[in-house]
Amino acid sequence: MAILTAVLTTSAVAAGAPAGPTPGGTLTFGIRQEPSTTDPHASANGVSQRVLAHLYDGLVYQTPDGAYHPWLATKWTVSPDGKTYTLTLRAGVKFHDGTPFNASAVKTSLDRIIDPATRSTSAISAIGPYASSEVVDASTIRVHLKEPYSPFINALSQPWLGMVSPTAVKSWGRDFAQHPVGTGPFKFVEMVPQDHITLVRNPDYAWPPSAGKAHSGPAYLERVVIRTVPEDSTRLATLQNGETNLIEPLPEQNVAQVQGDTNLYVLKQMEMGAGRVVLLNTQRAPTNDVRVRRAIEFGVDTATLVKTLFYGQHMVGRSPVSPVMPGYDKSLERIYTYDPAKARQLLEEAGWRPGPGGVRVKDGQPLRMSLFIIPNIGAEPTAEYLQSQLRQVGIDLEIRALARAAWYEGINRGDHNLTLAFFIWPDPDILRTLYYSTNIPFNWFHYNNPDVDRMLLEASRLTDMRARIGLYRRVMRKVMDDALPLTLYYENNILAARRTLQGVKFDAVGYPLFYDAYVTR
Amino acid sequence: MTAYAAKRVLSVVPVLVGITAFVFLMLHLVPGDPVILLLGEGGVASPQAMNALRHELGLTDPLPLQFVRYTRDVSRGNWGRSIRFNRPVLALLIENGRYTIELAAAALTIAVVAGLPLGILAAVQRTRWGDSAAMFVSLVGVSMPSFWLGAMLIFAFSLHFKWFPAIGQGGLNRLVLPGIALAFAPMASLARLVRSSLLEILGEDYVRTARAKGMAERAVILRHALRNALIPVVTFFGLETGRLLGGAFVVETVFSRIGLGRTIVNAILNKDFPVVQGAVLFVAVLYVAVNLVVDLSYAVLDPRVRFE
Repeated sequence: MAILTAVLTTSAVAAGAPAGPTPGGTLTFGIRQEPSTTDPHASANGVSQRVLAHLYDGLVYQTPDGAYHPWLATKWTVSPDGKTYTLTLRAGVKFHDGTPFNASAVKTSLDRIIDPATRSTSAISAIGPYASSEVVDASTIRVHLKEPYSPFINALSQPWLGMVSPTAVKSWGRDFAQHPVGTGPFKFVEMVPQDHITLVRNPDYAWPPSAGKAHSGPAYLERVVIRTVPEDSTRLATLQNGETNLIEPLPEQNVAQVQGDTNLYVLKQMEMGAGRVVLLNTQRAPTNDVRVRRAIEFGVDTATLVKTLFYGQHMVGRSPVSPVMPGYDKSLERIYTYDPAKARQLLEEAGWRPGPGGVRVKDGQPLRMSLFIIPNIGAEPTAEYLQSQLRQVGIDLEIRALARAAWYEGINRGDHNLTLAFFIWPDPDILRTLYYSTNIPFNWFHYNNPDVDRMLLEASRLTDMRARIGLYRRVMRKVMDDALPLTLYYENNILAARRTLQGVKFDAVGYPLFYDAYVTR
Repeated sequence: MTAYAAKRVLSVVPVLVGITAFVFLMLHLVPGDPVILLLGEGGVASPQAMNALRHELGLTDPLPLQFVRYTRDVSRGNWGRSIRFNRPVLALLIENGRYTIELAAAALTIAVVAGLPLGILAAVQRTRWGDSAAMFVSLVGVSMPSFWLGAMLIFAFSLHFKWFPAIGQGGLNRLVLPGIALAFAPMASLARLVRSSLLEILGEDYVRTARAKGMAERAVILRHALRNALIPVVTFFGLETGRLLGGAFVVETVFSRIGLGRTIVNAILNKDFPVVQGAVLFVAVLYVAVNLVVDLSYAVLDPRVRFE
């Protein structure tokens, strides 16, 4: 947690001496990508969380230190077999349309997620082996799972599992996303595709989570306008000329510029999850040889990568999860460090001898492998960097830039040796998504290890976090030993704001929250 | 003329059928299962859920049947529903297309208002300073990418002078900068075209006759020569429409404007394939329509053009 604290302190200092918060004012938030939906349960991209987190409340609240606190549920108990969760609900909570929040509203919300008509992706994945909900009384709900699933409390804290108004669900059906109704600090006003989403303060709001908030009662801001500004330089220009007062992301190369502008400041928060990572395919030659995979781990200088391509704005590291994750193990960072000599030696051991043009050969075959990427900002420079680094140890890396659909098909089939990805998730169960054998093909390592499977499954069934963490650490050591993930860096979410905007906080995954935010004149 | 017009309008039909077929096939033959894209991102969708969606979208039927159904629906104005916005595709395109057409119209206007005089100046001043200046401007114009020009315009007029807002649409003040950014390239091409076309005509016999009769130079150029010089310019408009619609995407992105270009790209990124399909068709129809109008307008401009 040391790093997280350091980051928070820096931004607080950068923010300068705050004037007291006063109600009113507008936050105009310029973001690169358009939120895909205002329905938390429907399929949604990560950027939608910026909207969802303000329209909807969850049953449980996770603070950036990973701890869970009461929110719409005041307390919860888990049955000894780990399959039944009994939650006591907060009284006096109302949806934006006046519908009272109670156990039957929770049941409607949870049942809606597993209804195929909702076409849920993120929520259904988070809710796991959910079976049914039972209304005990107005303020008590009992949730039944098909099997023990310890990440369930974490799931309840995610924006995807926000509580929706049963009245609105009933009257709007499939058009709910055009008329979203939650219990959150802000109410939906309008959504103009490609342009903006407007939210307005919920004057009745009186149920912020018990922890992690600086005040109670309604939010300070009168209005939140989330504008899509896809072009990086334009987005920064709107912040500089005042058309927006907060932007995300701030490109790494502009951080110094913003820090040098007295009207602006930078906000940084490390994202939870597995970071930016190269996934090594264990089924396809030549990366099916663990010595080759280890050579790749030793052959890439990530510190220089972060310094040159990302202006040092992210954190260099090698562990399979980011340092803000429960279970992070610092000792894993030392398993692989940049050591091209060691990489060459491993390749020699694997039978790859120096060949023409600096590319190693074995049985007349050059040491060639493919890296699959979806071309976007950041992917090509990183790919080219990897190419030049691996070339130095005798590996010929072929970059295959593919459209998203073709990329999915290719890596699901296992046509790749390496692929670039990033994973943001606030629970170490992310390791199960990545390394569990039945998750093939989404397990893009195409990794099948019964031992690891057993530990991951057991960890997902244990309710004791310490015991879970013990298992996750063993899994991480094993996948590092098998040289599966080449973690490039842990990403910081970087935002920039005008000094007149204060009080922006972050949720557990690293996304901004506006409940405590206010503007000064 | 009427007969020609009818024939010309009818000739559009096979073009549209061809485009429809192409758009349909394009999306079905390129690699990538749309259902995996829609539900598979978290790697958790059940095969049942995937099959249900496949069925709902009609993807389980044989391709020819899907094509017949698609063509029938499209001709009836049913362009499908956006998966993401859960709204009829055609309504969505018309709504967003409005802003692109507005931007393209603004750009064309600026291009004509600036490009025409520039071209005339260059022709009249041939090989003298006016020509060099005009051709220099147009050379810069054709070689400057619109995203760079857009960024420079924002830097100068939104950030430094604060004359115009940098983003959004609606109102003339939000149309000026993107309009200029998009207008520069066609303005430059237009100036070159007018120059060469006018130079050619200024050497014709009837121009010499008009001058010999003692007609004022101004009248010779504007009344006699320019009208004839405009024929290739009209052709240019037809061709330029396609480029403007394409270039609009870049300008829409730089200035965060709602528009067709961004609709298509966002739809691709969000795997909203009914919208991709519809948008490509929509732009194609728009292009065909503009070229139809251009063809028909030749007759109005030049009485010598006869249609059989």
